[in-house]
Amino acid sequence: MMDRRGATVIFGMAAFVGMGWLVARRLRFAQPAEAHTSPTVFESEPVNAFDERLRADLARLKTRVYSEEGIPMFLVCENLALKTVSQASAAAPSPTVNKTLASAFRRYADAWQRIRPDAPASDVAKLVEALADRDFANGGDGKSL
Amino acid sequence: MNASSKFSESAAALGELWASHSLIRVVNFHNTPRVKAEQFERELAHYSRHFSSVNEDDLDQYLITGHWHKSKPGLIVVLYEGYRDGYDVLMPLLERHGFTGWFFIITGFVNASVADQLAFAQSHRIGMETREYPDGRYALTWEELRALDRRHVIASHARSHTQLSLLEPDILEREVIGAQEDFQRHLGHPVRSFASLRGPAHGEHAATDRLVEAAGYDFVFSNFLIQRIRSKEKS
Repeated sequence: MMDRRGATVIFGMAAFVGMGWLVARRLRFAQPAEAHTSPTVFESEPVNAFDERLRADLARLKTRVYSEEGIPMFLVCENLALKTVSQASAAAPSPTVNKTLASAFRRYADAWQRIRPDAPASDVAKLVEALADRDFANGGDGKSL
Repeated sequence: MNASSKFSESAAALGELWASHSLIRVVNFHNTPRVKAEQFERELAHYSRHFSSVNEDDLDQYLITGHWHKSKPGLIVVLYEGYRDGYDVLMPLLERHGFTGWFFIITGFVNASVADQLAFAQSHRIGMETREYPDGRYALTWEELRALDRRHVIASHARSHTQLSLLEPDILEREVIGAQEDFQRHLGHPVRSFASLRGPAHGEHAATDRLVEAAGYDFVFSNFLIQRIRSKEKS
């Protein structure tokens, strides 16, 4: 039987492998990053409060039983068949939501480096999970991320 | 290079990917025991208020055009492995709330005899924390899969839930091509979507790439990506 620790180890290994691949592909995707979007609710939150909320979120997510819960995530869509890149967001009619999510992710990553300077690459997947968790809970409105 | 720099590189790489490509929401389920049905119902009810269902044609159009054509954002509901309770518990909830389920099936799990299914699960990284079936059948049957196939998406999670990049060529072929043959035999058609344990994404492992293309899969799901690798017109 796979216990919670086993599931966590597998998730961690999967994330590590995936992140290694992402880094390896970085040059392929090295297009100019979108400028940060206009301020949203989360950007007005004090750094310490934001960091503390993120730390609490990740601690809470550690208690999940991954094999028996619905785990929200975001996936990047890539069209290799036609060699064209879709730029609009599937997440909402407004493409600005995509920018908002990308901007929020950068803020999460910056915060996590402050909280845990020795963070392993596999923690990136945890940040995506935390961001998705908040986004899904808020109905994808792009606020309070 | 220390651990922190690896984190920062990985985060920067993913951030660039997010900023330059489309994103889509996905919720990943595995085992869906009845004891948690009320929780699943609450979650799906919430999702149905804010998000809309996605089938393979929706995804195909989105990847081609870059435009999402429904009023609410898309949400792909994925069920991995091929658990029996995906049919008994989650499928009715999905249909009540208007979602298409994407059932990524380990065909070896489905093909295992009832007497062997628990052992198969335990030896193939298939979580079994909650066991609600005294008769010992934990996997879907092909009959149930044919029923699901009428309204939902059946997809390939290979044959044995193993890490493909570690396999010898002949075993790798059985995992990728063999699984597709299982679907062809039992559903009467090939499936379009493929995901394997811990990836790889298309472009990460050449031998797997060749087999995935030869098997006729259109979409590859991995840890951070959905890739459209083959246009339907070429089918």
